[in-house]
Amino acid sequence: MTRRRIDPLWWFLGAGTAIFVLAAFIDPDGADDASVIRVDRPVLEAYLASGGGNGLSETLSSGPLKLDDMSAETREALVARYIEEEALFREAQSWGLDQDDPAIRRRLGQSMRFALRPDAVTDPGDAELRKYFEANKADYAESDLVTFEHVFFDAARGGAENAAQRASAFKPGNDWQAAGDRFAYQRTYVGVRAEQVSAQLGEGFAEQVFALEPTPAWQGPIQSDLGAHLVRVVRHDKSGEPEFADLRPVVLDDWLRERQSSDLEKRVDAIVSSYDSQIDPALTQ
Amino acid sequence: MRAKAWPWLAIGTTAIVSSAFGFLAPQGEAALTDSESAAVATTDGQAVNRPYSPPLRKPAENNLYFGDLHLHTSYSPDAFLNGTRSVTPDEAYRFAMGQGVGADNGVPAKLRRPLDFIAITDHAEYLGVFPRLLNEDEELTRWPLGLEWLGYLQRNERAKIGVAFADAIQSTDSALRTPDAVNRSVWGEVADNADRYNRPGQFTALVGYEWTSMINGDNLHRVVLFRGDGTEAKKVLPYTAQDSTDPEDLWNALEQYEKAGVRTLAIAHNGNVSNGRMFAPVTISGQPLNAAYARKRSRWEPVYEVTQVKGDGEAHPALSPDDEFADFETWDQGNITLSQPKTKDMLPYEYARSALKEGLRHERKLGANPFEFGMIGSTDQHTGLSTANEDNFFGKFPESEPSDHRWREKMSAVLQQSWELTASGLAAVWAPENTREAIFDALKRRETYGTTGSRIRLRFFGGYGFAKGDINRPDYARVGYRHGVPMGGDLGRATNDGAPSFMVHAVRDPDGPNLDRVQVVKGWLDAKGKTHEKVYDVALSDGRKVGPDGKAPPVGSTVDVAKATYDNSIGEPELAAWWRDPDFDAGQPAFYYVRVIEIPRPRWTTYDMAYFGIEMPAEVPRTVQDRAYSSPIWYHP
Repeated sequence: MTRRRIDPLWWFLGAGTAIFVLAAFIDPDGADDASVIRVDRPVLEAYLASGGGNGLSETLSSGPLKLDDMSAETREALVARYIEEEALFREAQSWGLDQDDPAIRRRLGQSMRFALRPDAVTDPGDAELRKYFEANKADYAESDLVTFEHVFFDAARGGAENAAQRASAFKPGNDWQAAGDRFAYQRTYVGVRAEQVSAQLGEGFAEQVFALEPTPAWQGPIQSDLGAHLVRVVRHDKSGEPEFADLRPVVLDDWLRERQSSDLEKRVDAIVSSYDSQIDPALTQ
Repeated sequence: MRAKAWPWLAIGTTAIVSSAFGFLAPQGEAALTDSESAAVATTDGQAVNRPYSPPLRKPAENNLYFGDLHLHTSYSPDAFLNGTRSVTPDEAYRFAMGQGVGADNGVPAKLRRPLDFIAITDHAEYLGVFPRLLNEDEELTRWPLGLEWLGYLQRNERAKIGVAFADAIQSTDSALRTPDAVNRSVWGEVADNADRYNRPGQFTALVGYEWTSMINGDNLHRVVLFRGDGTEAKKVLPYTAQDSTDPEDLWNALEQYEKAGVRTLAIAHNGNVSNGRMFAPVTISGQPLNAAYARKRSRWEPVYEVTQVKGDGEAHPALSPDDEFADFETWDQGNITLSQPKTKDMLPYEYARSALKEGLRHERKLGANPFEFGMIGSTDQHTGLSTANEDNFFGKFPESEPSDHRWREKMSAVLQQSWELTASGLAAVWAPENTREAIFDALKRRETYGTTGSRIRLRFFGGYGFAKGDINRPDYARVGYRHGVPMGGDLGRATNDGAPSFMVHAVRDPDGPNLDRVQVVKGWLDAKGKTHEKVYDVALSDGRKVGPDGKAPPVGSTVDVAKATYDNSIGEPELAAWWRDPDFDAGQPAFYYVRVIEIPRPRWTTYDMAYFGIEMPAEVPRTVQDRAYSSPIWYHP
């Protein structure tokens, strides 16, 4: 009654053999035979497009090098070049040269990081953002801005003391623009930050100008490395406390950025920690 | 019972098939997650916690602002395909504003001083398409070309996509155009983005794009800038090289913009890779230039980008053999794709000085000057990082971002070697305030100049009422505006046929090298219709004098090539001069512009040699003398 049952292994081996026989008919060369280098039109065109034909033509052609426009000789040279490149590439792989090449290792690491980049995260809502904002409040403080004019008395003409004396002799009713000496940079600074002032007039000068109250009167003289300056502060915009409501879009932007980069690092860390690193204790002593 | 075997067979077959696929499937970047086109960044409102106050308006003395009016990010297809992926427009704005940003090669980058203004000018053709393709934007993947490109991208077949893209960029085939809905949506994003970063008075973000025409590989590119805000810019769409490759059609399109209430201007660049087309005496269709062409061109193109990363375009040594400073970062191998070599007859139609002279010639014939342009510099970098300094240069594409081998990497894999790239340039603008409108208007009146990277400060006035001592007055600029014209202006004939005089004041970059000299470059047209040029040294450092041969002795050099250092023990921090043309002829039309030359400093490649401890071939120059070029002042008899 009982038909002899064929072991499934035989079914499997049989089917496998059938597939290989079939494959041999369809593709006699064997698609995955590493010792065969196939050169056909698509392969050569791709090679050309990737710059494989560089320097093959003797004159600069008017367009990209095309297979059909090539002389038989050039095409032969191109084919030979492709075969050599492909053969060396495969041989290098089989020798395992791709395993220890630092450039390839790093390039793969970069590709991995790129592949790991997290999707965009969405708005976490006010509560979370406000917390982030409070924690990083210092980053959102705007700089104070000052707007001022100055009359310059050049220390290069008779020394610093003389410059200060000439500055003190200035009559406020006079035409300020025609007073003093030529100045290399701005004579009117409009809505500038302290670092912009100090880049041209020195830190000490910037500090003093920011300490002055806006008045229509000329104040000073203030000394800079260049000479003496009478200063009229037109306005001083104090930055004040940063307000969450005004800055929400900026905070969201920063939160998202930070979140994305920390998510990426987490994914990288997860991969790193899935490996068991055994460190020679001599190294950590 | 037989059925029991099927699972085995199925598993076996699957194993074989999948292992075969494992071998056959190209290894690409597997997971293409992408945050770069996630348009979540926003920085508006950054300044709103204090009252905004309109700056002082002092017509007597403008303010000076430095910026970049030509920069590409991952939204430009060529930038993206060459590896600019993480530096999106958002990153580029942040970088320009002085924040630290990671370059695409992983190196952290930061500017020493923030820029005052920027225009991100990604290519109009396939603007923003590639980042969206990677995100598998639905609209784009329904578009056959998009789907094809996405395949290349996912299989990492960069070369294929490069070829397909080059074919498509100037094609008039409508199937190759970005779908309208995508185009509108990307342009909207670009325009809104500029609004988000624009902070009147502090940092200006101009809306812009680049029209990418290169007929047979001859560069005719133009940057298009908008005066208004994003809402205004969104009333129109970018004009592309697929619409037309003829600049006259671009100007007509800008005229249509204006009818819609949208004010724009165009800025051409890289005549040096146009193979004689940029300032040719004929139109694209081969007609000689006429008055209408001349008026249109001068109206829409008030300034020219004379210096940038692909070489300097002020002068060529073959055109100006008597000018010892004419051979500066010269690129004269061929056109932009290097598909045609350069020939000598092309040169007069490629360089700014020669074009200004050509302009005088045309003007006599046509009654209008087609080449009446001012000067700016900009970077044209495709890394999203606007870097023009020798000692902080991040290259043109990611392959020329800092590394010990970047100098020999070829641009875009097939073009010039990267050591030939120029760390340049900056646009300098004299304007009453740092706003879109004020900067745009300064460009229109050409009160601008270009530098090759340094923040050299330069004022230039021309007129008939300047006394010799005026340049030493504290209010010489007020005198200049009152009794003359600033750079970019025009002078008519004086009633007594007298010569105009000029005031020049140049100050070195506070962080940069001293100045070697200040020169006035004059070009003129004689009665026979022949053009001439002459370079005058009007201020020399270290007490040097022009010799009987008309040449001044060289300033010398403090550069230590091995250490990549220089010092300011030679040259002057400030040079000023009053100058009157000694060879003036009241009957000859002329132009005058200023060139300021710094003392030698290490070239960016020399900084690389010292930093990476590498050696480069002798053909790579070790030092440079960076410089500034003012807009001309024209004399019309």
